[in-house]
Amino acid sequence: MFYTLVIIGILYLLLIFLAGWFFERKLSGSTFRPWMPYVYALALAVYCTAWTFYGSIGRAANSGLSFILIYLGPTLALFLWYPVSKKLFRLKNSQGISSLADFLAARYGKSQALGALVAMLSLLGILPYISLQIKAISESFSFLAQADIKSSSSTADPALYVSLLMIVFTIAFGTRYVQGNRPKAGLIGTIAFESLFKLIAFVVVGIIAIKSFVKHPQFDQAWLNFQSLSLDAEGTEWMSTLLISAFAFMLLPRQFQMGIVENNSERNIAKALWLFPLYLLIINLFILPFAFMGQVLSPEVNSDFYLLSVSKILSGDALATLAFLGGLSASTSMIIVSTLALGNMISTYLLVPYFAVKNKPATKRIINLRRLAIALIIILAYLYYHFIALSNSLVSIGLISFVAMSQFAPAFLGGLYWRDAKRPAAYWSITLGFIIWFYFLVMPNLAQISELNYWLNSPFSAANIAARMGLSTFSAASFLSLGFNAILFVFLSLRLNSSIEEQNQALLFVAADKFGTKENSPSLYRGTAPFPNMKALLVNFLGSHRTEEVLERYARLNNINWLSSPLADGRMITYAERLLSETIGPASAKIMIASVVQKEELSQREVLDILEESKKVLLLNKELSKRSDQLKKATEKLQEANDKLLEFADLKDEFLYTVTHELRTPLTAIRSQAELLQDDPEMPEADRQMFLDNIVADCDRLTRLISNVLDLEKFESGNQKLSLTKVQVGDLIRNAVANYQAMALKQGIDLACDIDDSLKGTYADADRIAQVITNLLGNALKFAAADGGVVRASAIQLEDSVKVSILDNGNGIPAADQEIIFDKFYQVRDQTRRKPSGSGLGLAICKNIVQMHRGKIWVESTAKGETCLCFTLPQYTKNPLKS
Amino acid sequence: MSSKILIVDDEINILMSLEYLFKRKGYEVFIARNGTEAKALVDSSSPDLVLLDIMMPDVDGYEVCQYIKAKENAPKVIFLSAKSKKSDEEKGYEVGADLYLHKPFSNKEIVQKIKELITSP
Repeated sequence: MFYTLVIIGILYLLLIFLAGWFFERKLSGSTFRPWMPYVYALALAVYCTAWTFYGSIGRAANSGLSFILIYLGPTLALFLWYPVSKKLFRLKNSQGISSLADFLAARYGKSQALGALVAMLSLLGILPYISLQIKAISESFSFLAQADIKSSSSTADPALYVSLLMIVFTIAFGTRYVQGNRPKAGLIGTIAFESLFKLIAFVVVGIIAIKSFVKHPQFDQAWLNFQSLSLDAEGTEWMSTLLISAFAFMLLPRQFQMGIVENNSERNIAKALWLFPLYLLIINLFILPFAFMGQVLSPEVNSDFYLLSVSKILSGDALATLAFLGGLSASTSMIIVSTLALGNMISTYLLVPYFAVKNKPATKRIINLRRLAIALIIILAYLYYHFIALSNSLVSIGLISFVAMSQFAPAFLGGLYWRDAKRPAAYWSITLGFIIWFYFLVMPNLAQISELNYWLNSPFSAANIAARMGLSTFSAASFLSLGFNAILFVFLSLRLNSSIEEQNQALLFVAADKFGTKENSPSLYRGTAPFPNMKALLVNFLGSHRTEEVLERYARLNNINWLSSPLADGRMITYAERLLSETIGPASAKIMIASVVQKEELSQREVLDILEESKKVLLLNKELSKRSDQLKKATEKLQEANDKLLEFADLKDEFLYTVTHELRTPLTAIRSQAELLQDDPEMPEADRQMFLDNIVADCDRLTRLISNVLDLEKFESGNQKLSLTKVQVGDLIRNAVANYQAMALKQGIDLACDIDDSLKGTYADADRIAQVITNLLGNALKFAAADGGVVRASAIQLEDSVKVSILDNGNGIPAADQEIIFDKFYQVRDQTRRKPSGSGLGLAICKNIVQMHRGKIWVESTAKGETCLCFTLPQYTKNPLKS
Repeated sequence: MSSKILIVDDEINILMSLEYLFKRKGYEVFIARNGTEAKALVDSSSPDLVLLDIMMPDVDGYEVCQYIKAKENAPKVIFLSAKSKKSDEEKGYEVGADLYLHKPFSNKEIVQKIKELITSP
């Protein structure tokens, strides 16, 4: 069993490393973004440690239902936790906060001393709790392996190796970035994984154990015990436990780390509101059953190990091993996160100011100091476990830590919601709270160990004071420490004054949810710093790569060109201070910034004005972006309209250009010939006559062109009206053909018409239709074959229209051009070619006339390769305009 | 020996007018009514100067000009066009014309310009 456990334990720890590596690579991408709220809620369950696995069962066996209080406390406190977490999430980003010590130091005037106090007291309060986890690992191992490993030799203790591995893991996945407040995907992913693992392990072990216990002969005994479960409890005991665990849930370093520091999105918080209590409910379902099973199955065993003993008795080693692994995962996740959080505080307030700030570059140094702190804490916790007997049960050591962390509650909540909370008040009230805590909860243990019997028996001993108050030592310690702490805090806050810097921070913190985060948080600096100095400072603490990155981003967001304005303004300084704060904490950051900036103090009035302004800007920004969206849409529409207009304008230009060209050609001939006549009075009569004739012909051409352009303009602008009368289309064709007959004879063209006898009359504008027929006939005569030319004009009656066709045996129209010959100056398509003659507008006018009659006009090619221009007119039996 | 002028235009009235004008000024005159004819006449009669229209039914004036200017001892070319855009004129010079005149023109101006072009080296 010993070696099996060792191997399985090693495999599990390997799995954690694999998980860390996997999540570090995968979880930061966008694929997992929808899952982040679940990961976050699971990571919050780092709250459930080995205490839940072993200690709660022990407590349930000894004192009934009261174990549930430390889970009920956080559940009830979620209503307070929700707004607090949202506010803290914003402050984390806008102030560069990476731990509770950072928060309190920043809030109370960026105080180095306060940060250091918080860091030391946290270490004092949490260290026994970490060693409790190591103890749980060691003892659960010993219990299952049935070997007293701790006393045999220290190198045989698996807890030593687990501790060392925890150092490696915490350093590998917790100190990846120099910014303490940057979420680490590998860490949060692994912790969530461990939470899920311990939940599943507990549930599986619980279900299997209960299933086999139902058939067990001692089931009835346990059932009887269960029915007589004592529900009596001291009201004060319940109250103090609820209160303390509620505070601890917010203030424990591991909860602050997972709930605030590692959180990457505000929306995670809302989901945790129901996921986290659900988790607590499920994991607590089996605690009472195990307590009662343990009492009847293995009464001789320490009640803290009922989970292991019961699962072993009921289902053998395999199930017990699973229970052990669940406990291991609960312990390791607590060790990792607590150590990381404490390590950040210790290094930021006790190591970095003395060992890193003067180094250049400091980035590597800072990370290394953090790693050193982490290693030291775990080693200390191990030594504490190894050399100082932990006589108390698992639960009581945990509760002692809870009371210790609760001492930060008045300063913490006051800092968030009360502008008048003052630094010395925080400092002294925390100190007082810890003194009372120490006197009531630590002293009795120390006294017992060192056999200080005269103190234990004196009326001033913790137990005797508590007894006189009618309370348990725990309740007395909780009420007295928290009570005096809070009273002193309020009293001093009301009596003392604070520096302007602290007042400003108070304003920023209390009103945190009214301002934006990050780059657009309000600046409370007046004055400037030379940009190169500011940059050098950042490079020292962030590294040059990251510095370039953030400065570039800042410049882009604020439209700043560093080259043209080498002075960092107040907002830039605020931004830089936040960046520094992320790596070295707010107190050191303030000192560093002060080294490059000559700062002017702002009065409280001015600060209020700035904050008011910032709030307005935020509102204005929203309004502006709404407006800008509307404007953008309008602009798009305008652009579209403009494009259309331009297109029309282009067409108009093109038209004018072509018309001008067409007008210039006859004008040129007229002018040139007139000049000849003018300059040469002795011109032979024949030549003179020819030029004069030509001039007249060119003038006719000009006139025709102009009237065509005007016609077309009338049609296209809609000014042309039709006057419909009853028309016999056949007659119109016969007339037109008769008019052209003389010309056709002259050119040797065979011109004839072929009119359908069944042609009915229709309503149309007779003059306009005659114009169309004349035009088409004229074209046909022009294009008919030069030798043996034939032109035919025909009309047939269709069902609801009259179809007119004008056919010639000329060269025909290329298929590609058949659509566009009805366009104005269709030669426009190929600017430099031109049809043999004509204004280029005739067919366009025809098309307009036919379309106004709701007819169609098109080109047909006959089988013999002849060209036929056809149009239809709708058949009306009465005037459609007079209906 | 008198200089030879080739006039190319599809407008018969313009053609006749210019032919009359230059004959009276003592030039030897050839006329062409389209681009194809013009190319053939350039080859057969090697004129000293060509007056060239642009819009013609078959081969356009730009192409004729390129054809002319690709020859050795190419004659001078004057475009005579009703195309009035700046870009038309630029294109005319691009294909190698010596001058671009706009229609309608004055007879005197053309005579003057031709005198300058043919006597210049």
